[in-house]
Amino acid sequence: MEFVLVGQPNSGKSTIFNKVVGYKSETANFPGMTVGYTRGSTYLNGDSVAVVDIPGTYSLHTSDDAELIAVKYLLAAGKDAVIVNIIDASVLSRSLELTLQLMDLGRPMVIALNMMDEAVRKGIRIDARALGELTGLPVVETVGKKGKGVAELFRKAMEAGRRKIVPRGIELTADADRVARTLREYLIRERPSLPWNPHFVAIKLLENDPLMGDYLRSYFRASDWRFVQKILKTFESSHRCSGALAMSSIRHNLSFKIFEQVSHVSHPEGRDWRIEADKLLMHPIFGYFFMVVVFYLTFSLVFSFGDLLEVQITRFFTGMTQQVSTFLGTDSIWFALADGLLMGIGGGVGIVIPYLLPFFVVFAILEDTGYLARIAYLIDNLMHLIGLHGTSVLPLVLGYGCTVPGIMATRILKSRRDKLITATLTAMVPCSARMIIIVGVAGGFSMGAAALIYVINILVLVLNGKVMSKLMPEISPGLLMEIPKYHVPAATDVLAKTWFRLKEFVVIAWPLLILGSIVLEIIDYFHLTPSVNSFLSPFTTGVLGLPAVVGVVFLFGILRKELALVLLIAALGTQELTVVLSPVQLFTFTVFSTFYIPCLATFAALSKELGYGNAFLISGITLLNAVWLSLAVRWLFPLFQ
Amino acid sequence: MPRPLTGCDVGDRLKIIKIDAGRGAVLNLANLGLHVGNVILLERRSPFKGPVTVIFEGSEIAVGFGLATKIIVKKV
Repeated sequence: MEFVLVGQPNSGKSTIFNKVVGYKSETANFPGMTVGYTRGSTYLNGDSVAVVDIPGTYSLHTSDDAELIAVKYLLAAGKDAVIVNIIDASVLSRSLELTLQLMDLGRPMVIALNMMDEAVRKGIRIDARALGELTGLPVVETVGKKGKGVAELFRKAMEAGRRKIVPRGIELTADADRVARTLREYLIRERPSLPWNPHFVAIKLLENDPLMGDYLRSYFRASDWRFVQKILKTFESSHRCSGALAMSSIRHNLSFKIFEQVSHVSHPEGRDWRIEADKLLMHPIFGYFFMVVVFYLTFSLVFSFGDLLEVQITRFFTGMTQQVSTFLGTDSIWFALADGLLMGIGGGVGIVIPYLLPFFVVFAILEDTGYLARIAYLIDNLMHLIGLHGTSVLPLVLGYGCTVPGIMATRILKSRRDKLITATLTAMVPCSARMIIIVGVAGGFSMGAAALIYVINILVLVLNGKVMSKLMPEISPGLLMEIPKYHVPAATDVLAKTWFRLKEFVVIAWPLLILGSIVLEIIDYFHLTPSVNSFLSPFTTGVLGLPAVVGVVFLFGILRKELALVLLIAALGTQELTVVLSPVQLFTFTVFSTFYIPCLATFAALSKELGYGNAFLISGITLLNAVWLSLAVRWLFPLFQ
Repeated sequence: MPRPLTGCDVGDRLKIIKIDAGRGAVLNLANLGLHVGNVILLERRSPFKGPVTVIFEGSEIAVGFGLATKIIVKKV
């Protein structure tokens, strides 16, 4: 048996999923699609059952990626699938709109009235039995965060699956019901081979749903479309709006009616402190102050923690390499391979544990408390400067940890243009690997210089965003999001999120990192470094004014960005960079390393999310930026000395 | 007098009269309960063409400035 968790964003769906399945889950992707669902398994009464968490969605009308995934999954789900509809009880009326759409599928289903504690706090009392009688479905009250009612929920879901408890048909309006019936009867009569519930298809046809339109193309003849169009036209003209909006309004009204029937609203218990908190945290002036403090604390926490650990980890792996060298000797190719392997593994550990882990934990906490949505609100008008809106803040800020999950996070953006611009900018945000270079090279000169690189970086992001949005003057849909209530994040959720983001690094970036290190060692073994350097010297020396030895450093920086510093030290033969390089050269090197072509892992992530063409385009843009900025540093810097 | 959401004051209770946006945007608003005819509370505004937030049935929704200008409301 399979339980499909469906609910609106912020309904606490994933919390219930994590409680039941935990870290044993895995994300999966539809072929050709990048937004995934999460699947896991657990034991219930001794039986192994699958639990699937599909993306949160407000409705089943397929207008964005999340909705598309949800509907595709629901339509393709096996015969033994049970829909577990998770509802935020504190916004029951709105949540029921999705419930009504799910009921149209006519599948075994249960309803979880989640966040009952929140509803009670808001003064809402819900008669679960009345809701159960109206819908014909089992209704279970839950508080997902505390695990209350969750076991009962899945017991009922199992029963619903075994006894095939399907929803009762609910009357929408006389007109909509009549039209839907006509369509349904037509489908049953003329197209009996359709693999989906005819009632659901009829409703989707009334909504002129793009996905259903696609799906039906191979089943429908021209006469079928003519019949549907005729009915749809009459329906739309009688409602004076699109079929989708008409159905949405009908469900909205019906949900409100049900809400009034099954609940009783009284005055909330006392003033909510969270409303008072937002007066400060979302204040037009103090809000920004708090935001800066939060960012500062986040980064200084991550950085001090990372610094502490990285030294230990590097020492450990250097020790390992020495051990290996005593077995294999230092001049065999086997040593070169083993050394590359160890460096790759060590490099990964040296980034994951000190930097990514704390960053992702803090980030998941910010996200789950609800503060991140407030940041999106606060920063929205600043983002307009670069032709984007507040939602892009998640990928950009994640990019400071690791670019790979940053790029992956662009999936939350609805428009493709926004995705492309955000991904380009995210690729240029200095990730923790590049932070090592910035602090190591420019910081060796002065800490102010390192800070300056960050400031320059932000200015360059603004400039690029401005140019790109001018070149792609499509109107962005803009910010539209629910500001969730503040929550104490559940530890299981924070860990699950952290793990999923780390996994993106581990699965995509780490193998490339290991491979890159091995290639590096082999090139070194065959003494190819000087030829690489002389090949690149017209650029490195001629254009950038750097010593020729940086050629190999830049080339391998594509394989592994954080290695640039180690390689630079090795290439120059000294730790004292300021002795061999002039301040201009130090600065040029740092600026170039920060901006030019994202590492191979980022490239892989970009092609996965946006296709190879765009991945090459974005790499080109970053290279272009690196070159003009380095030239600017080279020619302008001496003027200030 | 009907006017855009961005031209109202914080604390105003407003009835949505018309939404002058494209089909997709209208549906996205509808998903969050912002249908024509519903009464919302303007909770927050931000300076420099920043977003506004409104409260509908107890949930707070942030609407970007551009979209907010297309939501025509009347004070109730």
